[in-house]
Amino acid sequence: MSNQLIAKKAVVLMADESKQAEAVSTTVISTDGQERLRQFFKDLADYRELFITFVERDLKVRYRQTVLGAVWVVLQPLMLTGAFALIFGRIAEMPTDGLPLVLFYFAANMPWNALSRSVTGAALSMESNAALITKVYFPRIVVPCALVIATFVDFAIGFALFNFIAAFQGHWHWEILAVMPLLVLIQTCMALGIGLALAALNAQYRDVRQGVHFLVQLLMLATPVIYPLSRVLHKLPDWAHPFVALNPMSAVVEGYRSGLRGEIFDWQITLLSLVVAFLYLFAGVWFFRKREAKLVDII
Amino acid sequence: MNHVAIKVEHLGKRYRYRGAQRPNSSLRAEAMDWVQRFRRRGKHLLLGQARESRPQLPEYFWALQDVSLDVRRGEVVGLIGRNGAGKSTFLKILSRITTPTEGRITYRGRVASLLEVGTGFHRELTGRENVFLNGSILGMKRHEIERKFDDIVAFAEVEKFIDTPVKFYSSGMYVRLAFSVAAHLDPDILLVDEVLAVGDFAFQKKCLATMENITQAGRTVLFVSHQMEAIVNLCHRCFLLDNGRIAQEGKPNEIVEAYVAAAKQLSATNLRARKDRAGDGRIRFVDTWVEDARGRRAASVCTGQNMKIVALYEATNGERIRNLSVAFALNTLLNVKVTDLGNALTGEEFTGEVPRCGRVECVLPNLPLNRGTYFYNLFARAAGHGVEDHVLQAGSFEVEAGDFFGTGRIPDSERLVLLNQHWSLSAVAAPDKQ
Repeated sequence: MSNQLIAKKAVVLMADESKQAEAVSTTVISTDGQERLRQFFKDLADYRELFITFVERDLKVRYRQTVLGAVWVVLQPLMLTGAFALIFGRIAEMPTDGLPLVLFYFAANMPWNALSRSVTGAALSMESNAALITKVYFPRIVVPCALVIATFVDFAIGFALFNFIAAFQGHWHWEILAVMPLLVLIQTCMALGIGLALAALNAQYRDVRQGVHFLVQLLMLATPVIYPLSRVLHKLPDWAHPFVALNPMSAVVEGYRSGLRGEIFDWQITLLSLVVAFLYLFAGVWFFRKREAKLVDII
Repeated sequence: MNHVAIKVEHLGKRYRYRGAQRPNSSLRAEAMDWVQRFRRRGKHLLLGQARESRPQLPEYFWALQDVSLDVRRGEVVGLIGRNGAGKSTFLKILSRITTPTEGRITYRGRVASLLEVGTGFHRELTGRENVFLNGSILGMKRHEIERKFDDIVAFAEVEKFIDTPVKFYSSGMYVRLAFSVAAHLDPDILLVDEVLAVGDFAFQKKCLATMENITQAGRTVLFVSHQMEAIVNLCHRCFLLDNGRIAQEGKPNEIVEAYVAAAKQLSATNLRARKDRAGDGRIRFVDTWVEDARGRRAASVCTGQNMKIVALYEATNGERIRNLSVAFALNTLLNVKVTDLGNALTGEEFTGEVPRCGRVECVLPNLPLNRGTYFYNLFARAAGHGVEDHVLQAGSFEVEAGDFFGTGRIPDSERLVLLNQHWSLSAVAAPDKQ
């Protein structure tokens, strides 16, 4: 087809569409803080479908050209749990607050896996989408957020497996289902907060790429994944207990474990963790917004 | 507001030079900065010392400053200016890729630009998935893409492969699909930056052709081009950007004339005094001129006669410069690239150490250029070293009609070049008639 022809065709199409034009909206590009904020929310609303598209893309791309495909989602936490149970449970003989080894570690690996994936993914998302960001506008916050939400699918599969194992070992209680939504909320807020801050930072400083895996590893040690929280609380004076909430993942992990015992989580620490997680989220969004404007010029 | 499609008020964009001061910013450097700042402030607070003078700010420059303009709905507006005048920055702000430092833009409707073609395509995804992905990235709603999907695919002629990952597409199919999505975007405002347009010549031409048609369809178009003819032909109104400011506004042909006049004046200014040059400057071109067939400095030369482009350079410091290559890029008045002249091309290399002050000559026998005004750029680089000096539109010369073929016949003045040619006609066996 000749170029001319293609061009003509294109225009005919464009002309056709103009007749059924959708509501024409006004865009304001400004340096004024209030106007920028208004436009930011308007964009979020306008681009909500792009958000879904990005989630889809991330899910589709992840397991394409893998032999085992989605089996990886199940395999990874299972194998890790097996290794933990063997090394920390059988060899190091870490206490498990009376829970079976596999359940004790799976209850921690399941949320932790999702968190580390979303934090790492979000942190590197600006860089891996640089080609896009420097060529076309959309609210940049959509990219890391979509990545975090995409890990929900992994989590959902992990959670189903968790319930299955719990039932198999006779530890299934309705409390597991009851506590889940709040724990997921805490976990997501924390992942988004840290992920967004790192993503904005990584656009300028590639040190983040080097550091993020290390950071996630450190965070894991700070989270009661391989040890029970009771051990930590035992060593701390009473007044220091609330500080456990500084790492909201502690409450998440312990929340699932208490569900396994047929108890509802420790309200105090969990609600405090929720507040802290919200603070992380707000700080992350604030920092991201602050840096967002300059992202393109430095990425 | 209703008839105004784009309203730009006092727009400015400031960039920081990313030069020697901060070659690659690292977290450590910024942390050190912070520590220093705190220390300074701490000292000030604790000891009551006079505040030390503020640390030297990195150099900033304004790519755009105080730009205000209105574009009416359905208007086609051209934007011209030399390289670095701020055209691309302006389009980048308007398409919201980057943010302004000051000022405000309001526009109505959806903005699209042809330079976004194919952005966001993912190799692993199928054609179908990519249409949806790319469409949403460009700002289309899902139901809109669904509605247009068949048209997009038919237009790109990839029906058979629509469920194949695009990494198996030929480059032609890939570009067609990408272009097709962009063409169905149905924007209210179209931005065209030909300077940034990637792709081969055919593709650029396609963009231009689309543009031409969109213009007729009554859309608002903002058009940045180096092709002055296109500006004059397509635009209703034109802005001349110079140094990040709007220097002039008016009818396209008037603005183009002014632009050309300014370019001429620039090439007439003393080369030594010009600051708008690139390269690390171990040598600098200090003068340039053109000599005619008799070896005299001339403002004009004749088609078909010998001519010479001369450039003088000086070394700016004591360093020895070896293996110099020099190139003069030749352009027409309207910035059509004619050809590159370079000693590296002909193999006449200046090997070994070159003199500290030198004269470079490029002889063009039987000048094959037709009547008109030509500009040339000066460019020098040393082997194993970067660009030494690069001056755009360093000089210009006129070409008068001349007897190129030695027949006294002068061809159409609209043709750019004349070529030596030989003709013959001979008999061939007549085809058998049955």
